[in-house]
Amino acid sequence: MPNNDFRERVEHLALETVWSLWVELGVSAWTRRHQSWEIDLEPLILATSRIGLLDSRLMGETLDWCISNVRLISATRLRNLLKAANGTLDQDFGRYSAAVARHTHVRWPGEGDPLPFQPSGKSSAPDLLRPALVQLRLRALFGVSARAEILRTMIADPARSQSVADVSDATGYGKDNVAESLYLMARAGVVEADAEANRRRFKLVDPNQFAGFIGALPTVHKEWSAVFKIMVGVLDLAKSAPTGTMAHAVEITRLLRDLEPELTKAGLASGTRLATAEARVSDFEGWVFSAFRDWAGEEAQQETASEATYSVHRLNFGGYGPWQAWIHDPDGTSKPVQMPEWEGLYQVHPRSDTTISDDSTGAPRLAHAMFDDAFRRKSVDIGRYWSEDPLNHLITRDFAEERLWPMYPGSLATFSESFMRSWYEDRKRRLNASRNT
Amino acid sequence: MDRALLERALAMLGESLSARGFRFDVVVVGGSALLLRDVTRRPTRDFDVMAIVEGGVYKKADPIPSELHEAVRDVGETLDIGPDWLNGKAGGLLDFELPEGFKTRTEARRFGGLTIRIADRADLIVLKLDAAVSEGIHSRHFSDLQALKPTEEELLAGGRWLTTAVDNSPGFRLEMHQALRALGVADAEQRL
Repeated sequence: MPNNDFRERVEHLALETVWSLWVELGVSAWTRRHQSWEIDLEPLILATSRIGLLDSRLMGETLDWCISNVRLISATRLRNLLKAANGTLDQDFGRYSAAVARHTHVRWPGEGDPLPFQPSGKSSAPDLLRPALVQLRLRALFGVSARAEILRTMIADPARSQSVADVSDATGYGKDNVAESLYLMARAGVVEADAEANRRRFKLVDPNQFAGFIGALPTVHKEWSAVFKIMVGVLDLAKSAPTGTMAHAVEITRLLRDLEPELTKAGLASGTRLATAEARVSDFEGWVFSAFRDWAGEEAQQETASEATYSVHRLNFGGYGPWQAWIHDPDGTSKPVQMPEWEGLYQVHPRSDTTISDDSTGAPRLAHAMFDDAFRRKSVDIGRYWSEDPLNHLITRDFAEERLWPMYPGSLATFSESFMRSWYEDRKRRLNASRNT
Repeated sequence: MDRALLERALAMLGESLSARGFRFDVVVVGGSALLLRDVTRRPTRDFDVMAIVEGGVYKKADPIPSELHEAVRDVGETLDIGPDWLNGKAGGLLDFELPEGFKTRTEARRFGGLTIRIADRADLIVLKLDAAVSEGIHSRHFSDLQALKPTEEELLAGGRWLTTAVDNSPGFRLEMHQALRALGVADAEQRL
């Protein structure tokens, strides 16, 4: 039987995802769930041209944003990604593209009657310092170019050596363009190449240094191009599913086979080993809800509600900003982050078991205390701040540089335990990658 | 596939074809026809389609039309019975003349967008006898033929038709004598 409830729920989750990503870019709305997720603009625009048909306000607000920020958008990527969509988005994107063309001088791919819309002017300029907007920050630095996309791809996975074909696929730029850019970047000492079976593979020479230069980075990376293709495929099936359960199960099989490359890219291929026969339908629906909730940031939100958070307050002592931090447990109780070994060490400056001095080790030690607590909640011991392996020292110093020291005296920041764990893991991966180079 | 799974696969295929807006009409022979006629309970690996029926005309089923092939592959993956569980390998039978009246004796069954025409018992005896002569007394065709419990007259009628209309070579005739003798037909050489 067709399941209208399923259709409504997946449409709702798809809209939640797209809205939240656009809000991160500065579109006027409230819910933000993707602050730490890397956003990939062109796949989002293409997906919005289809998913936005479910919500005219989303369509209007995003068109408004595109018109205001058209110089940050890559028409080349739009063209290449549209081609890769194999005609499935041509009609919808053609109308979206025509609406943008009506109010700007740019020529995007696609043809059609422009979507009716009046610019609202409500969208704010994107805050390029947001971790989620590293792509736009790179474009601001290096231009809307293959180079910016190559750097984004390599920063996201610094340990991986990638061939020209890999980079071309990941960036949405053509192989010739990517090969030329990689050649010049190698000459500039930004990337290095090694040959594997007569195939040159590239990676960043010093990802850690580069990451430090770029600024705050997102901790969650998704292959949005693949994710949106899966999302649109599921929405189409939910809309046109056959009435018979047997035929519905068969259409699910066909969809999963058609989406196999995207499921692999999105890291979901193993999750699609579903039950056979009619049971495949309910199994598929459960799998879809889980994936869609994850993409919508709802899994993270639910997880956050049941986990500890850390609030860090940079005190204002008239140009001197020591720290106080609190651990808030899910049951509502709070306790200060304590460093008992410091008590009594400093009597003049405020460095006690709860007030942490603004000196060279205060912020990194505070970061270590939060990482340590976040991992202990998962029964993982990350080790002491000082140990033979300098990893903790380096990671906590990075956190201090990126997240704590930039805080103004008098300001407050909050981090969830899952954020702390994923940040630590991400930085550990990068540092290990740079050690191996 | 046992009979229950085969019927389930056919029902799923018929419903799927119907949902995709296709209709197909096929002629089935071989072990799957025996299963559907309740002659044997021996599971079959595949569903042997000999012909696609279009406007009453039998057309060779090899290759299977692409729309049917795709639906078969999708059903096969959904039920985990392999992508080629329905195939047109038996299409070669149409290279030879069919026994007279074959078309009128088939039993039609409908599964949504799929109509199957199951060869009649008498025709299955002839087709199985042909296969048994070719592959010998240790082949599954020989045991399928025994499961059909043919009378001596049915075997002789089939033998006569095969050695005249299909293959009138002396070698084939000799093999036929031996097969008929193995099936218990006395004086096969004289009576054929």
